[in-house]
Amino acid sequence: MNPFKLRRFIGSAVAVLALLLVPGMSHAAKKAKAKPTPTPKPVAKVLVKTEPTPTPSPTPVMAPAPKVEAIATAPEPRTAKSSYKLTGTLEYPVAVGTMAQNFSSNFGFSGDLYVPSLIAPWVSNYVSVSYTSFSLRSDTSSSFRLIPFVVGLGLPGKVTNEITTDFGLGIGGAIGYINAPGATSYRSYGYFMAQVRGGVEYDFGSGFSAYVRVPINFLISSNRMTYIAYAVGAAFRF
Amino acid sequence: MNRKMKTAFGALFTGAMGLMMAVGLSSCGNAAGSVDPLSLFSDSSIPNLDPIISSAGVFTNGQAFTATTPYWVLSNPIGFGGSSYIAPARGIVTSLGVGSFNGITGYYVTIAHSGRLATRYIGITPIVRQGDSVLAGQQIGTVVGYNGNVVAFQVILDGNPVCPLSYLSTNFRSQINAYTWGGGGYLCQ
Repeated sequence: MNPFKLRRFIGSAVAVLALLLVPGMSHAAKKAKAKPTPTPKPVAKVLVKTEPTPTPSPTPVMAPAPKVEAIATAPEPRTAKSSYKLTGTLEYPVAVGTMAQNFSSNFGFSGDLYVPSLIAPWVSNYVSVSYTSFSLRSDTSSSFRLIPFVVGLGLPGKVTNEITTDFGLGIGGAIGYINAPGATSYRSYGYFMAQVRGGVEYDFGSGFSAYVRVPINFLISSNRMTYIAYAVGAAFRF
Repeated sequence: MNRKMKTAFGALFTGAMGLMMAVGLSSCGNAAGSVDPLSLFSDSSIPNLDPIISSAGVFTNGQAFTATTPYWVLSNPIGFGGSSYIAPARGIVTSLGVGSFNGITGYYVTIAHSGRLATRYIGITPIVRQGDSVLAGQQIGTVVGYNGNVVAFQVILDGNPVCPLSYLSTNFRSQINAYTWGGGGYLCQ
């Protein structure tokens, strides 16, 4: 094969290869962008410049070789937005199921600490400590109080730059007791606890955000109780 | 925050998770003398009131439940002879002490039961403490009376006294039917 034909063949092949690669790359980039969770894999941003293969001229002029430039840049790690986070939450607990006949809603609050997970980069871990109080329907001056503590796995999702979602699964325990005004001592009891929660968070920037969240909590012992805590709160990232 | 600090923090967090899980698991159980509060509220049946164990004929008179006197008053001029108050159903002692209820003042015990129901006993020397859990049939105190030889008890639904009649055991109902209520009046008006 003469050198001219060989160069023209190589030029065409590279151009075709570039055309095939570019949609694939952009698809990968879109996919990575669509996923709200951080992916530290270097998603390539590819710029390809091709020059058209020159039409053969009767005179044997050296055709310029097509230039291909590929610039790969690592994406901004999405963990940056959900690294370490402290939250404070106000809750309105509602007992559901058979126990709802015994306890009316009162109030609660909780604090969470989110840390980047050691398991996988696109999830986060959280530890949550709460205080929840229900009034006894039979004697509204007394209350059933809980101190739940949960460790969990958070799965964040991105809706827009400001709005994110958060789905969490947690397990832990809770200490429960009846608070009767004037009682000199309380006898506490321990429960296993499981938690499923979902929420939406709005980022105001500068590390501050506000959110609404609905945890569903399952107290597990020989007797069971499920309650939903409608919650609003604020978060600070650092 | 640099990488080393993050790693240390992560390790600390993992350790804390393990510790909390251990605490969570170990705390699940019956600590000395404690009863699962949920077990006290897992019974949706209506209490079968038989609040006072006594020898037959211990009461000679009573006062009907009315809107202005929302309790039952039972009396016996010769005393109660060491009769006992017993818990009519599972529950928890939510209040105890000297109090005044609708014009009656005396030493009292209030027990919160499952659902919306509580019972209160006035004219008692309690043997339980506030916060104690009680089982059906458990003695909660001795009957001593107030204003001489008079006792009173209330059934409270959603915080308001209601006529106890529909919560009585058959045995107790047959006992009190023999008495004169408010000079031959009704048990509840």
